[in-house]
Amino acid sequence: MNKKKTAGIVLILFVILSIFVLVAKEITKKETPKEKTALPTKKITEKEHIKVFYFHGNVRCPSCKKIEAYTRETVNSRYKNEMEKGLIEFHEINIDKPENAKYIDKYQLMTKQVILAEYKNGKETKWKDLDKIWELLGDKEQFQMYEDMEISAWLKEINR
Amino acid sequence: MIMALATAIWLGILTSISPCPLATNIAAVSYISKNISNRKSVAISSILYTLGRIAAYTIISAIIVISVISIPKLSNFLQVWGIKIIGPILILTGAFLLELITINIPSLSGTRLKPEKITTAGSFFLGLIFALSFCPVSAALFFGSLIPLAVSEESKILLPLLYGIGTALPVIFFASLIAIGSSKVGTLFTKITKIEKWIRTIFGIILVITGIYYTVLYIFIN
Repeated sequence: MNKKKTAGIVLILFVILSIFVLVAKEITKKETPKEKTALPTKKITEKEHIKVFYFHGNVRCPSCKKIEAYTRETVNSRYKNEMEKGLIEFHEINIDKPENAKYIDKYQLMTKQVILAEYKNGKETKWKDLDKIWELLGDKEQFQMYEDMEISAWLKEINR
Repeated sequence: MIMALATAIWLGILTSISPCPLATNIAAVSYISKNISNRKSVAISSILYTLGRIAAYTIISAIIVISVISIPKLSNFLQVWGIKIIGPILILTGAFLLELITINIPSLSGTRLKPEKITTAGSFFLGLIFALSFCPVSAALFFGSLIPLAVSEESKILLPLLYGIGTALPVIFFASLIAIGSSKVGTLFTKITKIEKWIRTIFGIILVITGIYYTVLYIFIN
């Protein structure tokens, strides 16, 4: 009986400690000034191009990693030439970093998402949320075919 | 409209059977089937758990309707905080199942509430909190699929309500299966209390370990 009580107390103490750590982390996070991390140097490509964004948070779940891996593979294997020519860029962005929070409102990000954005003369002209990725995640071939179709349709437009 | 209603339930089931809420589902199943020898208590717990989930989703939907907050901000907030709060809750649920901790709340009349009643009432809060702790898949399905559907069908309460039922269905199914199955086996061997104790212990240990893992990973490390 006593052992049970001790175990219970230990677990409750652990829970209290974790809540304490959680609150402490939150407070210190707010106090530390936002460090300015240098953004990756962007190649200013004047020509029209498409950016494929993959957005994620600090916590990476298996499904989220799968989305990134599939998307990277789609871009790298099917659009190798276009990547080299600078017609397509792949960007992986952590939206839990303060400097990236702007993307949440801009692209209405609700979860881990893949966004296509078209750039003309250095300016973004349109963007699209590839919202079917979560439904197709169970089928790699379908998933990559969906991304491939969307990217190739946009590529055709800028190649005209 | 019927299509939309069916879709809402289906999206709920999809959310529930995706691997990501697995830990919370195991917790819910074991919690609901805590008193497997008492089928009535399992049934009431199931209903309360479902009501808890329904409450969570309809409240979020209502908040979105009044649009006091942007959907992406709400979704990201719930995902970041949900995963942090789950660890401690799993530990407490596990410890409760293992009877390492007991809750005694004196009722208004001065007599103590029966522990079984507290356990049953707890199902509601478990449903509520588990529903609020969104993970990427559930956020994609709820905020990305269900809310747009609810908006386009102009059914911002009914569809989230059905979605809530959908998310609870697999949990209720497994809880009932355990309750019916163990009572069958139990009557066969007339050892139901022993089996009940075993199931509870195994689930309790799983929950405590998973809870500690989640807490360490998402609170201490991340």
